[in-house]
Amino acid sequence: MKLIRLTAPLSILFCLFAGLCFAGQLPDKNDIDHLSDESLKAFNSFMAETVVERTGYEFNGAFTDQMLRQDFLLIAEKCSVKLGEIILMQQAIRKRIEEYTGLDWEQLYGVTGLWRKLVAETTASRWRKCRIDYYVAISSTGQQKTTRLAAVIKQTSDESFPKKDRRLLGVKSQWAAGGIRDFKQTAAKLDPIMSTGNFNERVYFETVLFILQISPHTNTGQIYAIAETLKNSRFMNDFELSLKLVACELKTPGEKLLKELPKTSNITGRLILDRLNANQKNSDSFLTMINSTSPFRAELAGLAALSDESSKYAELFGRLCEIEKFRRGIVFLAAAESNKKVNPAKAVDYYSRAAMKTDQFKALLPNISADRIALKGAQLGWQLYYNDTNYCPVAEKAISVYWRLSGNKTDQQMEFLYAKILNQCADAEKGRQLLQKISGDKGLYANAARLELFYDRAKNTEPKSPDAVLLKNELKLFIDTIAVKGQQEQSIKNDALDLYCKILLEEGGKENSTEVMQIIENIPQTDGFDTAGLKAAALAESGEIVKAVSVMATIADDSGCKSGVLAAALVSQVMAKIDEFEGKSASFTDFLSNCQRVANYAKCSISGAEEVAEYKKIEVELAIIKAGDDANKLAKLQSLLNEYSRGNETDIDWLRCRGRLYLKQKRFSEAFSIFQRIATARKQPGISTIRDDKWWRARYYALLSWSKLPQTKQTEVTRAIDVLLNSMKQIPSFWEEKLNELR
Amino acid sequence: MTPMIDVIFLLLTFFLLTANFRVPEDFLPVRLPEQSQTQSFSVIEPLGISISDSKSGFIINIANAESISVEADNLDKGLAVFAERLRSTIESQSRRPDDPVEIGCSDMVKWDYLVKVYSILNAMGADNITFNLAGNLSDEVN
Repeated sequence: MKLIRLTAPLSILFCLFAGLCFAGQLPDKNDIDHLSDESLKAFNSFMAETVVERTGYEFNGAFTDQMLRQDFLLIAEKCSVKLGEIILMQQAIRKRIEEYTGLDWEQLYGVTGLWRKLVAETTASRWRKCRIDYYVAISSTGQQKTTRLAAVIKQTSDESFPKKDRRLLGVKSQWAAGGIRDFKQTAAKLDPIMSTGNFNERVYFETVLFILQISPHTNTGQIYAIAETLKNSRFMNDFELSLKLVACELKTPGEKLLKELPKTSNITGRLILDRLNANQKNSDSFLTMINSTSPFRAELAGLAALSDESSKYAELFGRLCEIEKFRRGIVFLAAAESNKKVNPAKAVDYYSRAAMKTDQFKALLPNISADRIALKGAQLGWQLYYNDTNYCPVAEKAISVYWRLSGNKTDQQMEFLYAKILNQCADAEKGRQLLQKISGDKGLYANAARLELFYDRAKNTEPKSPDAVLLKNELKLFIDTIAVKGQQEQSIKNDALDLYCKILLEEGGKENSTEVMQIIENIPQTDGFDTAGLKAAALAESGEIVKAVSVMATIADDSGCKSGVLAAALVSQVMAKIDEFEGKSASFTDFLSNCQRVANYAKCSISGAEEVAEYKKIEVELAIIKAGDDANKLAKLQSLLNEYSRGNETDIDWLRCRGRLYLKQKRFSEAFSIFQRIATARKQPGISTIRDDKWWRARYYALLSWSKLPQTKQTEVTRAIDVLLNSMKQIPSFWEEKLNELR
Repeated sequence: MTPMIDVIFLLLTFFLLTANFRVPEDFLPVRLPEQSQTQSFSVIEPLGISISDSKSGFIINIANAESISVEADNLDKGLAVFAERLRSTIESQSRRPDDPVEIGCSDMVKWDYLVKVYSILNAMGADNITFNLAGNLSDEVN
């Protein structure tokens, strides 16, 4: 409506402008021809542009997609406005010609037939606009639709329009408006057109096809008879009539025309596709539709979906792939293409299946080869695996299909990727053999393959064992032999150094951590090298935990999980001695904040339910320690603790968290009871005077809680500490100091 | 028919007279003890004493420091040495005689010896004597 409101005054202005232009000179043949060309062009371009939507409307009896309907309405309105402008201009010219009183009038417009031509062209433009207005009306909604259809019906009574055509348009409008709903009554109204049986008139075929479309009992016999008539008429090459005929056949189980008229297959495929897609939300109607849809029709729908490259058919094709009769190459390919963004893992599988059934769609898609489809799957699979190693089996399957279909003649990169993925998640031994072959070939990926073999060995070697030492030395030799000529070699060297540093850190010792620090300082480029993670691990190995946490915290907000494993190791190292860092860090709160960030980051490297539960404990314990005496925070933490520990209340770590919480909440009696309980549990069976660090921690907190009880006397506390320290041997100095502070 | 009715009445009378009506159960209110919610823990670290057997008697170890060998044919002497060492350990560890004591005893030690050690501890004032059950306790906590 806005468009019309804006264009109406513009049209008037345009007409005035045109009027002024013509004022100086008389209109000639060019002016008349130009406007008639413009009119025809506007109409034809609308018809060509909207063939899918119009056929869809006639096939379904309505617009199935509201977005498409609105787009169609806009295009139709635009065309109607344009034709309106042309008509106004034609009428302005006609008025100028008719008002001209010069003696040469007959010479200019009479003998030349220009005036008659202009009158006929103006009528033709009005008829075209009337037809376009019909499309504007059917794509409108509510009262507007009724009003617009009524206006079209009124226009069809204009006797200057072709008689049969306006009759057909009038009946179509009445049908659309719901004025007549009886098929027989409609057919009777169209009988004057049908009775002439003039196969040289397009309107005849249009009328027959309209009757077939609205008929509740269309049969293939009628359709094929009309197809035969059309074939022998002068409209044998009329695309739109053929399309309408095929659309009629779609209402029946027949597929003769579908196969005989392949040029219509793209649009008919879209009709099938839209109908399937529109019905898939309703399980009953979808089931009925599925039963009446043949594999060939599903393939046509697949073809249409492929040309659309949209994700909106992902679910539909996913469902079709589950049904045995639709498991065709093209359906799998359409499923893969529509799922590649929304569900890439499934898409990888669909690509592989499509690739294996390429022979089924060679006729429909002759330019697509099996290995090209398999390559798409392999590439997508690899991308998935690259981002998340859990997709290893998916990628392996896709790459192996590509490997097989390409006859083992893939490029060097794909060969390397196949070997790597085989080694990691399928047939490790076969992967190893292929990697060895590649490493011996001296090709582009020889060094990368050698590095993979080192990774493989590292994975299967016990840390600190003689094999680990051998591996370390061989890896060092390998690193020294890598000649850095470009980015690829540098990346491999960095990865190898990264692995080497990790082996050094696993071996432990001050010397190794110093070597790691030296490597970190001297590495020219850091691509692929886990600088922060290794630096933190080296610092932790040399006992500088606070610094290590601080370094690791700098990458804690990074995406990815490059240092996840090292962060997890650091977290467990920190948590074992968390109490000892209070005096060692400048700001204990900052240290705890860093610990929280590192712990949060380390979660990326864990997957099992037990590990997840461990991290919940760490999260809660750190938060309790950090909360200080803030009652509100402690109350919230208590709720969190209750929620997390439900069903595992006697777990020793949860008990320790609870003990720490009660201590902060000044519930000393309960805290004492919990820590004594933990100490009892931590005690090894048998009589011993040597206890581990965790026992001392529990014993210290038990005595601390007890010392805070109102009834406890300081002399008793001192005596209990004296007895304890006198009874035990090899007391950890930290806890001895803490206990002495309680005296 | 008449004799049969007589017999039935006789039997009925017999059962009525000999019937013994049972006293209904549960008429006396009985409350079972409830499980204690709190556990009592000793703050003072117990003095650990372990007893193991030997070929000629048994060996007592006080606080994993001193081992006293007690001969079966000279029990009194051995137990006297134990009592003396115990006294000095209590003093050196700033303990009191009534502080808790924890006994760890190997399976092969005779009950007689264990009772004797227990009696000495008791005689010296120890009334909080427990047996090492660390393994059992730790089962409670996962």
